[in-house]
Amino acid sequence: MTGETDSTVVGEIRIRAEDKWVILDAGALWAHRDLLLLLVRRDWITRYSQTVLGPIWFLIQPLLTTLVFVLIFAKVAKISTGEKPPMLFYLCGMIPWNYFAQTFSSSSSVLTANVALFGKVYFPRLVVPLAGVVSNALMMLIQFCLFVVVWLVYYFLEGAVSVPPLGGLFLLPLAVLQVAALALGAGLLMAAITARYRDLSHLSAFLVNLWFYVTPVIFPISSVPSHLKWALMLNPLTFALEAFRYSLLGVGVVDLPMIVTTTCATALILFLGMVAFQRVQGSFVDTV
Amino acid sequence: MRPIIEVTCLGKRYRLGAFGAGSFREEFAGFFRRLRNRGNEESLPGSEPMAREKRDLWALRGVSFEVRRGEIVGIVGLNGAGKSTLLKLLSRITQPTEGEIVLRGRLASLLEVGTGFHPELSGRENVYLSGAILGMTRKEVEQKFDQIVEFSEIGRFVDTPVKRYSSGMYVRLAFSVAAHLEADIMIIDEVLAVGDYAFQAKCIERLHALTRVGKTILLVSHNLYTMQTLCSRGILLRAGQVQVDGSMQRVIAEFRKGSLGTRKTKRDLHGSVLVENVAVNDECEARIEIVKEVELVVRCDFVVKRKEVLHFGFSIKSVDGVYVSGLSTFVENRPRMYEVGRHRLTLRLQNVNLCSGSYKLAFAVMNGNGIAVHFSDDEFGELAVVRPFEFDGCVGIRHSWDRNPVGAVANHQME
Repeated sequence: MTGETDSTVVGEIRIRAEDKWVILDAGALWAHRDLLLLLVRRDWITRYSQTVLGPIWFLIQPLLTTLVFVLIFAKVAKISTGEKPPMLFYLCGMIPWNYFAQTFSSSSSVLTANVALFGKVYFPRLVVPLAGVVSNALMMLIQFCLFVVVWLVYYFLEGAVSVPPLGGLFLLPLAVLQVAALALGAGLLMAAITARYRDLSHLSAFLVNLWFYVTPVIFPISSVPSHLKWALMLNPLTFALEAFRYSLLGVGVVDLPMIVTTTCATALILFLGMVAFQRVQGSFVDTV
Repeated sequence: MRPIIEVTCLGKRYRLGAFGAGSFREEFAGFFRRLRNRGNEESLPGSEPMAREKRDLWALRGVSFEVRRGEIVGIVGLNGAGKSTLLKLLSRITQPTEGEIVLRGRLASLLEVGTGFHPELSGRENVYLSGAILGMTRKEVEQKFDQIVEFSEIGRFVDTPVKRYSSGMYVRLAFSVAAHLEADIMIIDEVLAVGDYAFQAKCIERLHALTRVGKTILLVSHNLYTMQTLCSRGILLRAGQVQVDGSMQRVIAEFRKGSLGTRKTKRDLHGSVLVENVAVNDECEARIEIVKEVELVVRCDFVVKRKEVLHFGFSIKSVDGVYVSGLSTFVENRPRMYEVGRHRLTLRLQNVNLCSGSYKLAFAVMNGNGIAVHFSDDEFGELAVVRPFEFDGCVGIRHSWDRNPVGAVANHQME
């Protein structure tokens, strides 16, 4: 029996009250990598099951939102997007923003949304929010492809864009990682807080809305009056937005101090999120 | 060899009262108080510990036991005795408040059927997902996939979303995944009670098979018969503590002895009938003990205030909820008109042959349409049957075994 051989591999598991300070059990997470992939798969299959258009919705959603943005912010409110066409400008900003917003909301509701499951079986709870990070990343990839298609249209038909400096592309993976870490950290923090104080879950959606307006998604940093710029600089998401614009459109402000401060802030939020989540998950099911 | 499970002084405290309004402030206040009192937590300000103690409920306290590899331990106890809490702690769903558990092997817990199943996914996808959630690797599921599907008897529906399954198919597939787990320690709560009779038998057979290959099993079930046939050892929990830890026979005997407090409550739904007294075997006590097959006589004195048709009902339930018998003149279609005045009803039950245990008696008066106008709560009377373990279930049926050989073949074998 394979079970026999396994039992010699598995060491002792000690279950005690004071385990709250273990922040990350990487070994246990690795052992559950299959589960993570299956959860990602479940996410994908169930998200648009029984819809006629199916995964095409992954394209329609950002496209529609962008069109609305073009209509409201560019045509009606006349917010300048610099020298780039608004359509491309928004699409580019939507890639990291959607990734952030979706990952944040899926992570922040992870405890309350999985009460039934968590109450019946144990596996490292972190697997579920991590699966969200991965499945949302796949969705981001689709949006990225959409962006590329629209970019090609502008490039060949209108000549409105030029090829950005290729050196900027190295920023992309960094920005994606940063958004993922930030969304996960902030989401876990929110999950831990709402597990304790359910009232604050109402605040979570509002927080995302608010965050949207202090993030340069629909406007370039350059259009912000200089006495308000500090608010954008405090926001660790600003870096990701600018990095995306810089590497994909050749506009945007990214400098070394920004990278350093953003990395530090993100690491801090991720750390706090993990600690808070770890402290709550152990006896979370008792308070439901 | 060291025990595969070691539980030492395990305790779990629940806070009663939800974290509701005001808890924010309370928590902040508590936080600052703790800061001030750092180091001497025991000497918290006067009123605090009192208020705390009232809200605290120890679901388990001071529980210690060991389980050796290959043992099958049944955990027995009334609802609220701490069985589920113990299983939850062992399977790491929630953390203990005090004490320690040491597990020396892979553990899989089955506290519900279909953990992790998603209705939109196909049977195949659910087998993989549920398997992974219960702790199997992808490779293990792949190896066992055919076995699982075969065991579940769902056949060609394996690629259909499980939301289209009948509830029986769903449960069978879910149990099959669980039954093929590769773990050293299995924690099983009530999940045996799934599917039709044939499937249940198959599940129990599977459990037997698991024990033969040396798996360690902790089992909670209300089905004492299953427990007795499967488990070599039992642990009886009462009020969060281990009362008996020994052979399953002893545990069941002790469990069956346990009585419930009796409560005499009557409810009149209607002013037309006044029930003055209901007595069983003319005992004043609500609790009656019997040691063998008996005759029970239920007497009810009542006053009718308005001439009408009345029906009477009487029922027996075991404390673990099995409906043993329900008798009524309504079901038997024997209506009778009652004149205004005082009446006495006598119900004779012959050959009441109940198994050892506690039973709750209920009594009801109904109008001509069978609607109850008066009924006792379950605990109008309690029947405690204390007798040797001669049969299982609730009711003993008069029977005889005919074991004569047929023809000469049997004779030949005897020699």
